[in-house]
Amino acid sequence: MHIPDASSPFWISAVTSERTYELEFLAMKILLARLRLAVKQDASPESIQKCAHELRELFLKSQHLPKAQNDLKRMIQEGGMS
Amino acid sequence: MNPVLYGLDEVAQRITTGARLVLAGDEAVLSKLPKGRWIGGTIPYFMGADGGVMSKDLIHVTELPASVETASCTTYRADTIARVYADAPANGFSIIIIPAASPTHLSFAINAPTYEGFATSPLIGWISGVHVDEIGKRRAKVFFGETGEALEDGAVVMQATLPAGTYADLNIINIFSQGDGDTITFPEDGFIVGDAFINGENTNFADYIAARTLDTRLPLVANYCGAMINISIQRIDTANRRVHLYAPVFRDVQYRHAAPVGDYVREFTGHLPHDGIDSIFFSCNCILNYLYSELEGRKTGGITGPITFGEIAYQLLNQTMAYLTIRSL
Repeated sequence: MHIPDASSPFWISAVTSERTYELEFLAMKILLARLRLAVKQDASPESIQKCAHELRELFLKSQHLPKAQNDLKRMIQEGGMS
Repeated sequence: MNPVLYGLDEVAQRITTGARLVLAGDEAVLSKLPKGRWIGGTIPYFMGADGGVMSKDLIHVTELPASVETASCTTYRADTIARVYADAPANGFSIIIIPAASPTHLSFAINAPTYEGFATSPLIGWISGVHVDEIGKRRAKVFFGETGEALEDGAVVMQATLPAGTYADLNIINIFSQGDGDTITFPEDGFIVGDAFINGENTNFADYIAARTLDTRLPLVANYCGAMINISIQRIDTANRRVHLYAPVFRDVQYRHAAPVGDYVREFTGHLPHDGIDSIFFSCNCILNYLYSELEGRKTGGITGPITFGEIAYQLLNQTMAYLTIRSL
C-alpha cells in the first residue's frame, strides 16, 4: 500500500474537508470523525498538522490490514489524488 | 455452538491448567476462583449458547486461542489509563474491563479519544456491573487474576500478541440509526447535561425531551464517518432539569434521536457480518439491549458474551455489540 508522504496535502485535506467516504475500518471511521471535530474546534495550523499526522500514523500502523488498504485507496481516489 | 457458561469448579480447573481466560460473573463466584492468568468483571447477565440468561452461579468464559503467542495481564488506574494504547502490542489486541461508575470509567469515557495512539490498536472490552436490583447498593468490580485482587476502581487489561500473518479485526453491530428529527449538539462534554442546542437554538435538554415525549429507551446517535455511535439516556432529573447519560456527549458532535426499531432480534440478525460469526472470538452486548428487547431466553443469531454496563470498541459505547475476530492475511 502506497501511503502518501507526510508532506502530502492529502492528509490535511482529509481532516479538514467534510467529504464523506464509504469506510470499512472501524478505527478509521472513529478516528477521522474525532480529528475532524478537533480541527473544527481548533483550526490553527498547528492543530491541523497534528491531526493530519495522527491520521497518517494510523495508516502506517495499519497498512497490512485489508480494510485499511481499501479505505486509503478509496480516500485517495475520491479525494482526487489518484 | 460451543458452551461458554461454566460453573465455578470447571473454571477453577481451567485456571489451574494455565489457560488464559477473560471471565464475567457475579462477584461472589469470581471471588472464589484461584489465582492465575485471568481477568474478570462482575455481571450476572450473559448471552449464552441457549440465549440470554441471568445467573449468579455461572461464569462466562472466553479463552484466548492457541494462536495467541503471548498474553500479559495488567492493571491501570484513572491516572495511568491514558497509556492503554501506547502499551498495546504491535500486532494483537487488548481486552479491557472497567467497573461501572468508577473514576477510571468516567475518565476513560471522556478522555480516551485524546490518549496517545488512540485507535491504533484494537481495544475491546466492557464496563462491569451488578444485578439491576442491586444498582446503588453494590459496587461493580474487576478482578486481576494473577493476584486475585478485586478492584472497585481501575481497569484490568489482557494484552495479546498475534503471530505474523494474522490480525485482530474489531467491529460493532449497532441496530440503531439516526432518526430524521432535530440535530442536537451540546456546549460541553459530559455525562450530565442541561443545555443543548436543538437545530442551533439554545434549549434545556430535559425540557426538550419532556415536550417531545421522546422515547428514552432509544439512544442519541452520532455519525462517526459511517459508524453509528450511541449515547443512552439513563434518567431525567426533572427537578434540576438535567439529563443523566450512560456515556458522555461531546461538544460540537451532532446527535439525533434514534429512529424506532422493530423486533431487536430480527434487526440484530440482519446486521450480522456477511462472513458469518464462527470466527468471532469475543463479543459483548449492552444491558439496555438485554432489558429493553427482553433478550432473556432469546438467542441473538448465535452470538454469545457478557451483557455489560457499557461496551468498549476503541472508546466507550452504549446499546451496541462489540466483537473481535482473529483473521488471516
